[in-house]
Amino acid sequence: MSESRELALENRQSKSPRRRKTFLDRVSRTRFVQGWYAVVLSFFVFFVLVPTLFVLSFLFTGWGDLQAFVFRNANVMAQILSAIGLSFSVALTVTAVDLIFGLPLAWFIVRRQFPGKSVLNTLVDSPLAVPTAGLGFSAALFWALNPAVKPQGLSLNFTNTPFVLIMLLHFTTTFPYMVRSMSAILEQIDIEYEIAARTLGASPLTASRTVTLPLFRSGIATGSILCLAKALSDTGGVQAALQTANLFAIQANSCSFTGTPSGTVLIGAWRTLGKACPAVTSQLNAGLAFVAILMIALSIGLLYAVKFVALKVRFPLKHVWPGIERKLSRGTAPRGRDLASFAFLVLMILIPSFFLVSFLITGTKTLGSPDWGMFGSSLGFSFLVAGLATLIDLMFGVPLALYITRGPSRRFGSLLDSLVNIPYIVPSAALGFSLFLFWKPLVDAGALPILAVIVLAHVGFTIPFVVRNTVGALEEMDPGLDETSRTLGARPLQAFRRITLPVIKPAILAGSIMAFTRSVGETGATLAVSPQAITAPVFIVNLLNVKTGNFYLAGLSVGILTLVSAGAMMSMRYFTRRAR
Amino acid sequence: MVSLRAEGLQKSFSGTVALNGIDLEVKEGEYVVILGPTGAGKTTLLRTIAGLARQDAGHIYFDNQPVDTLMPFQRGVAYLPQNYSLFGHLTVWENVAFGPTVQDWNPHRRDQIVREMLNLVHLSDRRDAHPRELSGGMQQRVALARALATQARILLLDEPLRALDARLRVELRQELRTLAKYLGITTLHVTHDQEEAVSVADRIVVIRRGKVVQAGSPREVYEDPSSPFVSNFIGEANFLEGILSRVDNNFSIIVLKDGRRLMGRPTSVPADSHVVLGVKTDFCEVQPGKSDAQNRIPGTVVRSLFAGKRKTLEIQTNIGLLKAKVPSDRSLSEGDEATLTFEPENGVVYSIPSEGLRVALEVE
Repeated sequence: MSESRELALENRQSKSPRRRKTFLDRVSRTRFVQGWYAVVLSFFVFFVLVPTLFVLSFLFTGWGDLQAFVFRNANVMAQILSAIGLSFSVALTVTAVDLIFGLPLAWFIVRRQFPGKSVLNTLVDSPLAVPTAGLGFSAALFWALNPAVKPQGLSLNFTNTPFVLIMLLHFTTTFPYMVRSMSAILEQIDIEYEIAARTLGASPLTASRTVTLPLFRSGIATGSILCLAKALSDTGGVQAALQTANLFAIQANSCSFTGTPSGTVLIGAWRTLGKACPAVTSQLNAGLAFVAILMIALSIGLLYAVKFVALKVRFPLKHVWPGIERKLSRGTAPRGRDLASFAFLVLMILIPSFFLVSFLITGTKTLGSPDWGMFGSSLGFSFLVAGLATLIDLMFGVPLALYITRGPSRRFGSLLDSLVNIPYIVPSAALGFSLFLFWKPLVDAGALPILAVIVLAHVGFTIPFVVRNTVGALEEMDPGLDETSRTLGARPLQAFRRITLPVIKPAILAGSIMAFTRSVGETGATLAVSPQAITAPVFIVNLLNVKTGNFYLAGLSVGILTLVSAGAMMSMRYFTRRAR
Repeated sequence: MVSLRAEGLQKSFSGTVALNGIDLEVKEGEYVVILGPTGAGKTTLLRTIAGLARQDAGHIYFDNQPVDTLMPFQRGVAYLPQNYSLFGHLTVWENVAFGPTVQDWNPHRRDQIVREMLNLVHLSDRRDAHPRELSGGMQQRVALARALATQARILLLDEPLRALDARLRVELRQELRTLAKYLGITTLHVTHDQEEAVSVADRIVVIRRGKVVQAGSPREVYEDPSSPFVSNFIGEANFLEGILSRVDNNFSIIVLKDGRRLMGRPTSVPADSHVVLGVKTDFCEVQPGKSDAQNRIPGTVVRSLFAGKRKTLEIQTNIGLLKAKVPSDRSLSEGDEATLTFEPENGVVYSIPSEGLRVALEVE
């Protein structure tokens, strides 16, 4: 013991000589940190936020064109209004239905212990692995009346109404988001409240309805917003479904299209026609700008409306009908409820999502003369774009999240926090077109490759994944860890690298894999920036064409893309689980 | 080893005043306890000294050198936060080695000091465990070893024993003091537990609402509390309101509202003012039967609370409910007639607080 004391005293007295200034000292200086934050903030504002909303300026700069080509052209106006109406009515219906069937399922997953829970979780998530263009193809094969190719009698031949078909498709693309976000938040709500209510005499239904549900508003808000955004944004899925069902086709030689597209598909179609028919480009651009403006304004408005309704409006939840609710809590009612949501999962989500498999097995295997070179290069192009976008997301998204949670001003942080959601809620095709207009001068001058604009568009709708995940992890992290490390002698950068980073790494990883898979599956934004850029989903959508297409090759391509995304999701699970 | 001085520290958070002009002096190697109720500004004071929060006004000096502009990592202060904040992704060894590692010590010296520190807190055999595998007491010792391994000049302990159960708390508080004294490190220990404060401190600084209300040795603040608040916060006291009728060098006389005269210590409060006489329940005695002799207040026992060697008797008198802590073998039980008594030297006279006695005693 005395030896140790001597050592301790000696160590304390022998003051270590002043260390020379290292790189770490320099970059830990306040001025450097502030400079870095300034770079990150200006990137977000000038490369993400302003370009996303830039199309709104068309209202001033292109008013004449809008009047000439849109407002005075009843035909164009009608097309626009029907497309937007279709997009929003489908999105709202889908969200409502998802809520009704998703809530019992999320409840079941979180509150029950049963064998095969992880299998159920995987099943719910599984449609996320299929690129939306593939889901559109697959769902249309299953539901559509007289699809372009018949998978020999197994399909339902159910509908050829665009509204119904798109709605059925969007169940598959949105339901996993709804269940996932609701179960994530439900998991954080302490079951003790419900137990307390039950011991006070409430029936299970009364307890969950009056105690847990009010605590659960943020879960409903998040789930609904994700759902709406996903449904409004989808281009590839809708286009693939409509084309497969013979409900939509682009006729480049006559500079027109047939059928009823949704808002985002209309953007993609007009962009494609604009390239093919230079004579009408400025007319089309005016129409495009108007669609984009309407979609951006309406979706941002919808975001705040949903937030308001879900978080602020008082629902008449407090009144209790003990007798009825007790009856409903027992016997067939709850069993029927669970059964209905499971049936919904299987019939409306799983089978339509993977119906493509039956087509691949039993369909006519005519590959014709497949353009494998094109397929390879489109896949490579997709990965290049997704990789670059994810890299940029990481470089700027993580510091942005740090600024939001630990920056100098709380109020500014939470403002930024809500601004980050804007590129996410804006339909990606509208975002792509807006970016195209913003960067057009530089691209035309040859100063900026179109690839850069495509990557920036993908950064726009994927960076929220990285920021949101990182902010979530940082908010949960004990701030004492970072502070203690700094009193132990760590400079701010050391504290970040050695303490904060290891703690938030799983969340960053999860966010970037979500960003990557979302980017790989994206169609609309790519098409809206440049109709000639052939990423894998664009390649697939182009193949789904009755006259010139090759459905079997499209199916195979979907399969390959699905395997890649599934691999990415598996590795995400593996890494996040290992980190725990 | 280093001395610590704070002058006029002020800090508020969006309107709430946490520190309201704190002056503090800690000598080299001294073990000082900051005692105050929850929300008194204790944690803010420690964070300000550690450099984790910046004061709005006032200065902090280590060895008479101002440190106000230094970042936390430049101050050489070992700060032990309330919940220990052990790094969950690192082992015990890596936790303790964290300070030396980020300060870039030579590896030989680093390993040596980590080994010494783990020895010191008896955790050498758990060096490869992760914090979550350790008990609360072990975690506390890892946090302590980690703080000490930086060879810090000042040790700041924020409620270091709060998360532990009662028995362990009593054991560890002595260990803490022994260790700090053994290393000769200047220590500032924050707590709201007066018993803990009295048993480990060289000196106690009582703070309330962001201000120092009294500083002194445990004995001084216990026996000679400067205000009714301190008197009631450290131990427990009876308060008797009345008019100060006479003061001289040996005693003072207070007339209660029922005309009873009580004797207390001499005081500087001028005669004829409205005063309150504070008497620690520890210094009160109880006799059976009713007596109206000097410094005696008759009444009836209404409650008897057993606490091992001593018990607390609550006596209803015509000037209110009074308490006394007496040896448990006193044969007095509920319903008995009894008389409360105390020596004049144990009665401390305060002028009546301007905000009223009830508010002055509030522990918020």
